[in-house]
Amino acid sequence: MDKMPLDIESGEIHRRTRRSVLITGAAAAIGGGLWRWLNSWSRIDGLNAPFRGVLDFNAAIARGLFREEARAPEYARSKAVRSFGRNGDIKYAELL
Amino acid sequence: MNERNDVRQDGSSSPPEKSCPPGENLPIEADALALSAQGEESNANREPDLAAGKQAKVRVEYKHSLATRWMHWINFPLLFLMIYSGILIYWADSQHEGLNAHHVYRVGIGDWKLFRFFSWWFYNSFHLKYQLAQGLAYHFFFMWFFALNGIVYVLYTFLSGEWRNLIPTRHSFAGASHVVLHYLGLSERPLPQQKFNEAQRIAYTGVVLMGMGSLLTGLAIYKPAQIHVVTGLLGGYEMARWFHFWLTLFYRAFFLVHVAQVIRAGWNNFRAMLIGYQVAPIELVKQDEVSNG
Repeated sequence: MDKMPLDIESGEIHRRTRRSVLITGAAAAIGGGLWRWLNSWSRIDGLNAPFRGVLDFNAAIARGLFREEARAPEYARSKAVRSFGRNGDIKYAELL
Repeated sequence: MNERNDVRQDGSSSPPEKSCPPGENLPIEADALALSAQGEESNANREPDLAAGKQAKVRVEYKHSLATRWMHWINFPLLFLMIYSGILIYWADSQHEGLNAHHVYRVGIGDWKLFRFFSWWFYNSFHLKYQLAQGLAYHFFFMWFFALNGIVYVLYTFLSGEWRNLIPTRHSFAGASHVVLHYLGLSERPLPQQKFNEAQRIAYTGVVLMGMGSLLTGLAIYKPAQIHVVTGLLGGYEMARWFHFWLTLFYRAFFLVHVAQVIRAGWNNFRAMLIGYQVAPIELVKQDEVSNG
């Protein structure tokens, strides 16, 4: 990895820089295109298909790794918190 | 100047892996005007004494491998997306400030709170509201790429031997304080010539450890019942959230300092993360000349 310094023509630095900037720009454009493409899919249950697919994939992994019949740990009543955090009730009214 | 360091533009028969003996190939000449045209004025005093010539040459050092550069630049948008999606998730927690009692995402102790992250103008300005499901989906999608990129980087660092330049040594903390004093203008003692200074060693190793911490705390939040052992070791679900959140804030602090340092170091240093090579500082070239007679 730690190579000796070397002497090159200065033009080579410029040529390499131009090439790297172009590659970086192209990679950024591809990344932006991927982002748009991921968000362009039709929605399944409110999420674009690739994201829904990965959520399903994650769930399949979890089912494979963890036994569904395994019991979650139980704790003493004294350890219970007075108020628990929740992620809001937006849209709940429509569901109920 | 490819990845094997073996290209010479003048067609000479010098061994490719060695630098040219001074005096034979005009090693420190380069086109100063061309370099300054690329915005290197701020860095000009760090580069060789340049003079135009037919065989204008410049001495370069190999700094970042192709793999390191790719993983560095891939990590940049991935980290941004993880933070962005995390904020989309976090917004939902902010919905019930009173209910959630500011226990996690705040600066304070006990029942006393200095402030809570973030203000409503923040969510409004960046259109971060009402996207909890989208945020979760992004987070659980890009976490794979973020984790894979990090794991491959760590493996590469160890397999390539690059870790020797990155892992802090027992002198690093003393050295890092010297680096800080030097940059604050409180120490005139020059920094030692090395690939990464001691502060960089600590910072770059620290940020990798932070990445591991984010994965671990993220898992503890993601499956708190299934991997309750990990969640419990972290101090419970709320503490795991706290660690996860503060690690993210430290990423932002790291990013700001990192960018400030890159700007301060100049174009030559930044360009090395694009092309892999950095034009050698003039001190190094002069030292080399002296040592070679």
